Amino acid sequence: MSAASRGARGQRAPTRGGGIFSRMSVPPMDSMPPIRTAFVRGLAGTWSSPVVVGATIAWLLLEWLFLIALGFPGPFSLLADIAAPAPLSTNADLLVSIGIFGLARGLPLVLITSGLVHALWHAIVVGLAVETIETGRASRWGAIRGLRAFPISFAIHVFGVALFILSQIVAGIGGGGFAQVLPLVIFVFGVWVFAFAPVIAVTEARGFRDCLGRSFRAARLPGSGNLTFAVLYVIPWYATFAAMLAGVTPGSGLGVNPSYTAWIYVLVVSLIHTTMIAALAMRYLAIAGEVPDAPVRAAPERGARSRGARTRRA
Amino acid sequence: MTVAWLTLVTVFGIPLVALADWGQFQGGPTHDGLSDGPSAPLEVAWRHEDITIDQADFTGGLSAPVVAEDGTIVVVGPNEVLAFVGEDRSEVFSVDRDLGPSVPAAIGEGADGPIVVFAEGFAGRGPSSTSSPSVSPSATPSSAPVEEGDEVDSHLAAVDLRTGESVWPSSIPLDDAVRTPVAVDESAAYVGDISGHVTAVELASGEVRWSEDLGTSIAGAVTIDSDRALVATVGEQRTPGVVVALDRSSGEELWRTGEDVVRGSVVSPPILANGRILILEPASVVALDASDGGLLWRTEIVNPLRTTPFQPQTIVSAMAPVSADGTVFVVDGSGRVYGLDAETGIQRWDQALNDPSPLTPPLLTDQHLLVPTNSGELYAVDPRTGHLVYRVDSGGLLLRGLADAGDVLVAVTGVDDAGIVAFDEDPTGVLLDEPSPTTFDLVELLAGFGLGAIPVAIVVLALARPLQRRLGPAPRLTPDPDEEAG
Repeated sequence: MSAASRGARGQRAPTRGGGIFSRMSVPPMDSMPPIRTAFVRGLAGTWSSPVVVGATIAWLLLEWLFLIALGFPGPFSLLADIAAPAPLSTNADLLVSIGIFGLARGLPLVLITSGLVHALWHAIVVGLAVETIETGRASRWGAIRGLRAFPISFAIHVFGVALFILSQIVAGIGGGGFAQVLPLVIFVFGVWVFAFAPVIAVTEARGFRDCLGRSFRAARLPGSGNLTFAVLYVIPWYATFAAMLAGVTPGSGLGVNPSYTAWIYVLVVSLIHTTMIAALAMRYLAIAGEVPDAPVRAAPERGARSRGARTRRA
Repeated sequence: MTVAWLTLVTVFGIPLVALADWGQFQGGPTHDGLSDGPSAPLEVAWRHEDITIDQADFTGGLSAPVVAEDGTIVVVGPNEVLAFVGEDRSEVFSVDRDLGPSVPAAIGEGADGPIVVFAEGFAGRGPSSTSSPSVSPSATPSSAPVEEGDEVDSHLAAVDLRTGESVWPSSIPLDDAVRTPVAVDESAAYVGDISGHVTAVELASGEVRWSEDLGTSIAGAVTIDSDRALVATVGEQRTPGVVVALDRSSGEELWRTGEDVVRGSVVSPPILANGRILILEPASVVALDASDGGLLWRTEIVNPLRTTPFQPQTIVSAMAPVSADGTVFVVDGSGRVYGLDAETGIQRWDQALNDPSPLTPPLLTDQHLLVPTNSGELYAVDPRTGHLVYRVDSGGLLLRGLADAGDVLVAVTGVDDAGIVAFDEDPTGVLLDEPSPTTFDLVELLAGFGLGAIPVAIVVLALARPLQRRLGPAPRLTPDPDEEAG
């Protein structure tokens, strides 16, 4: 038996499938760090790192100057979410692209403009966050290692746009309170299912599909509390997102010269997203050995008996 | 008339309010929104809040005011038409009307003096036929078509401006509900309805001059240009709107815009300015040749806060451009003001007020562009530079329908808590000179960065490093390969 299929206490992880929400009532996994522990570790690791904090400030300043040069009029507070995993960063992707190119061109171009750039930054943040969890400090090599996650991060940004548009369409059809709740559900789903994938890409250097599949299986591990984590992450974010749309948060109006309060807001929220990514990394690394491998389809054989048969990797 | 009034002013000292002339939406029959009234610095001259209206939620409260030459202010409420003396706010008349959208009335010349022409009734689209009685600034009558054979409860009516008594033998039945302002010229009133009918009615007799069906909902007030009536239609989901020129006397169609001229819905009336027709699409300003409706230019308005900067006409909102001195001015729903070159459509400047203004068009005085906003602030912008030069709080919310009432400007506020507010020049006010926050200022940007980002970074590091030391290294999270092999 490989390490990958063995639990932290030497027990084989359950592998049978069920409904998406069928395993929520099982006892917590012993090996999974509690949410609070992961959050504190993530916060201490990333916020104590001059590399992480400095890189965040530098990226925000450089991206903002770049956007101004392209004619983006604000709001500056959109940048608060660019480090977040998609679909939490998708609104920033869309509005930055639309704010520069207009609705007609900005919407189709989002993936090769802001989506691409923000996927790169997210991959770097994941690399730095993973390094702080693994070694207690971050270095430029963590950032370089994070580039491994770029393809998967970009793919998740693509999914994020699709999820975001889907949420708007369905909310529009539903209307009323449904319109308020449904996007929240979709955002929770997106974070829950995809958030581990860039961490897997950085730490295990797996292929694109393998990262996505493994992230999904890790999210569904019984007793892992991953859905709770996603809910606790998304709901406060959604409140700040709504506040930004309502013009309540600093820097939420149009303007290219952010006030000091806007900088404080954007930097603190960015660092909280970095903390959450580090917490996700810690939680994934703690249970990586228990994530079941993907079921593989048997090579086609002659005869009806073998048709549709499946086997598991040894 | 003007000479006579000037004589009276000179001889008897009658205040200049008598010269007010804002008899319909955006002033006159071209709806150009130009005023020679007071400009910034402004102050609140008076507020009239002693107005009780019912069922404001689904009718829009009070309409934008119109002002007669003698200074009488006329507003349309859900169940009534109200007229006040501008000087002392005393009531001239209050006339009942059938419950309907509170669309602005128009003041024209009837057989025996000035009359007020107004639309009334919901045509079966009102509260009894809609499931949602809740009201919002975007409230709009149901768009479900009126079935043929149904009793249609929508009319055009007229009352004497001085007495409030009906002046036509009977009100004029319309084909559907009206949510766009009534327009008048010297002899007729024009009104468009939700299902696309445009009707012209003789002011003197109340007889229908003509009625035409343009197919889809009328986008805004009918605009009068010499012998033509210009009408814009909203369009449908897959059919863009059009601008149609109708013969003013017969209703015969003279021309309509080509297939590629208008690309989406039209969300404003056609505004006539210097030989151009200006219209708003949800995300563009379009200039047309007034002679044949040909496209002169189209400028996309880009605003990340409003992917569709201009919203369709509803029973409360009515957006429109204004233009003068070679510049076209528009205000989008977020309160961002744009100055566009009238010849090319190229943007000259913008001013981000960051105060939503989705309900009402701006007003252009000789000196300033005045922008009412939802917060109740009235902003004055320099039309040459786009700099903000003044702001004044009206004391109410949802400020809209700014109108020239002579020596004051009047507007309405609120919906349920409706009021009328007047502004006059503030002799002690000091003008500002603030560029738009969207204008790059390196010093201001670096100051914000230096005072915000750098201290936060220092504080974060100072607090987190002791915590990290106290926590120590993270527990080993991945299996040791050697241990695993053993």
